[in-house]
Amino acid sequence: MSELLKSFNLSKSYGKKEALCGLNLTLESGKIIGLLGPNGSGKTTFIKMVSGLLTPTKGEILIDGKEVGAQTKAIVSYLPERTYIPDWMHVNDILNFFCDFYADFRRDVAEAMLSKLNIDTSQKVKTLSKGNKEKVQLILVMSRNAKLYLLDEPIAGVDPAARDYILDTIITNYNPEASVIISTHLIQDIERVLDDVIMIQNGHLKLFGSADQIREEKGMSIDELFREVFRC
Amino acid sequence: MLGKLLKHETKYFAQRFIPFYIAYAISAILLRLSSIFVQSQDANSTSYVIANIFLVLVSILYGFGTAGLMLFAIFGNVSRFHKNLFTDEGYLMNTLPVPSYNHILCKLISGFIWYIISCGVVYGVMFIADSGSEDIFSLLLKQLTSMISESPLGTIAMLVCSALTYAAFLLLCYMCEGITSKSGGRKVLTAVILIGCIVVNAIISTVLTAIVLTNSDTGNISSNNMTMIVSKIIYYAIVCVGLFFITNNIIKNHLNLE
Repeated sequence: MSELLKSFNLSKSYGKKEALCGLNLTLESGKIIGLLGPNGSGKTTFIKMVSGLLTPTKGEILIDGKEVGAQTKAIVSYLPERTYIPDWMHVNDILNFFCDFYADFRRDVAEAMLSKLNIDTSQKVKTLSKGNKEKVQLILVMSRNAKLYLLDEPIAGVDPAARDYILDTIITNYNPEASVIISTHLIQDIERVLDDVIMIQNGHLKLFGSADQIREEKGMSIDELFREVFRC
Repeated sequence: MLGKLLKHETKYFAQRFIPFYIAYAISAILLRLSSIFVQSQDANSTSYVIANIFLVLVSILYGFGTAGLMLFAIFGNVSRFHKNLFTDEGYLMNTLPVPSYNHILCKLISGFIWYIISCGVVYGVMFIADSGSEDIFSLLLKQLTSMISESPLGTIAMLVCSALTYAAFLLLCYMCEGITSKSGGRKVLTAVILIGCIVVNAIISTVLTAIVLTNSDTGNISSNNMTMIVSKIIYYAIVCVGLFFITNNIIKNHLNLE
C-alpha cells in the first residue's frame, strides 16, 4: 500500500471562523476511510479542499505526490452532498460528458447500473426524482476507475433501502487499489465497510486509526465511540 | 480539453438560441405579411384598422425580439459563466481535469460566436421584416466595400478594436462574478466594481483620445483616427490580459464554493 493523500498543517478559515485547524494526515491507498464528525466539524471543508473546490488558508495537500490541480482532478472522483447535474441535460448527455472528460470513466458499467434502476438514458435530468438524481450522480462517480473517491454524505437524507443500495454500489464498484473517503455522521450504517476512521471535531483531528484497532482498544463499536466522543 | 468544453457549451446555447432565432424569424415574417396586407387594404375599411393594430403589435414583438436577442447574446453568456462555475453546477465543472483558464477561454469564445451569429440573424431577419431592406443591405455592402478598398488596414484595425472592446467587457463581467463568489455572494460589491470599472474605462478612453489629438501634428483626420484606433487596441489588449489574469487567479486560487 502506498501513500495516496497527505495533508500538512491544513487549515481553512471562513472570515474569523476556523473550519479546519492544522490537519496532518497521511492516507494510504486501498482503504475505505470514514470521515466522521458532527455537523459543522469540517468534514465537507476537508473534502472540498481535496477536490479543489476550496483553497486552503494555510497548509498543503498532496494527492499521489501532486498538488491539487487539473492532474489530481483526473484521479479523484468526487460526490458532493448536493445535486450538481445540470437540469437541461439528458442522462445520455451527462454520460457523454463524463466520457469526454474522464479517461477512467467506464460507460458500460454506468449504463448497466442505470438500467438496473430502470433509468432511461434518454430521460431529461429535470424529470428525475431527487432520489434518482442522487443515484445517477453516485453511479457516475463510482463508474470511474479513480484512485481516490470522495463521497460527501452519500447516505444522508435517504431511506434505509436506498442506503443499502448506495453502500452496495460503493463496495462493488470502487477500484480495490483506490481509497474511498466517506464523510458521514450516520456511522451505524457504514461501520461494517470501514477500514480506517478519521474523527474530527470543530476542525481539529480527534482520532485517526484502523477501525478494528480502535474497536479493540476502546472495547466498543465506532458508532458507540462516536456517541461518547461527541455527546452534547 | 478546450474543444470538449466548447462542444458542451455550444450544445447548451444551441438549445436556447435556435428556438429564439426561429421565434424571431416568425415575428419578422408576420411583420412583413401584415405590412403587405395593410398596404393592400382600403384606408377607410375596418379591416385596415384591424390590420394596422396587428401590425403595431407584431412590430412591438419584433422590436422586443431584436433587443432581447442581443441582450441575451451578451448577458446570457455572463449569466452562464456565473451559473456554470459558481453555483451547484460549479461542483461538476470545477472538479473536471481542466485548467481554470480553459473555462474562461471557453466562455469567451462561446460569447463571441453567439454574439456574431445573433448579429447575423438580426441583419438577416431585417431583410425578411422590411421590404425596403434590400436597399439597406446594398448600402451596407457598398459602405463596407468602400471602407475596405480605401483603408484595408484601418478596417482590420477597427474590427480588432471592436472585438477587444467586447472581450474586455465580457472579461470585466467574469471578473466581477469571480469577486462576488470570492466574497461570499455580495452582489452590491459586484455592482460597485462593475460600475466603477466602466467609469474608469470611460475616463481613460477619453484621456487617451485627448492625448492622441493633442499630440497630433498632422491635422490629417484619417491618420489621427488610425493612431487613436491603434492606441485603443493596445489599451484594450492590456485590459483584457489583466482581467483574464485576475479572473483566472480567482478561479484557480480563491475558488469559494461554500
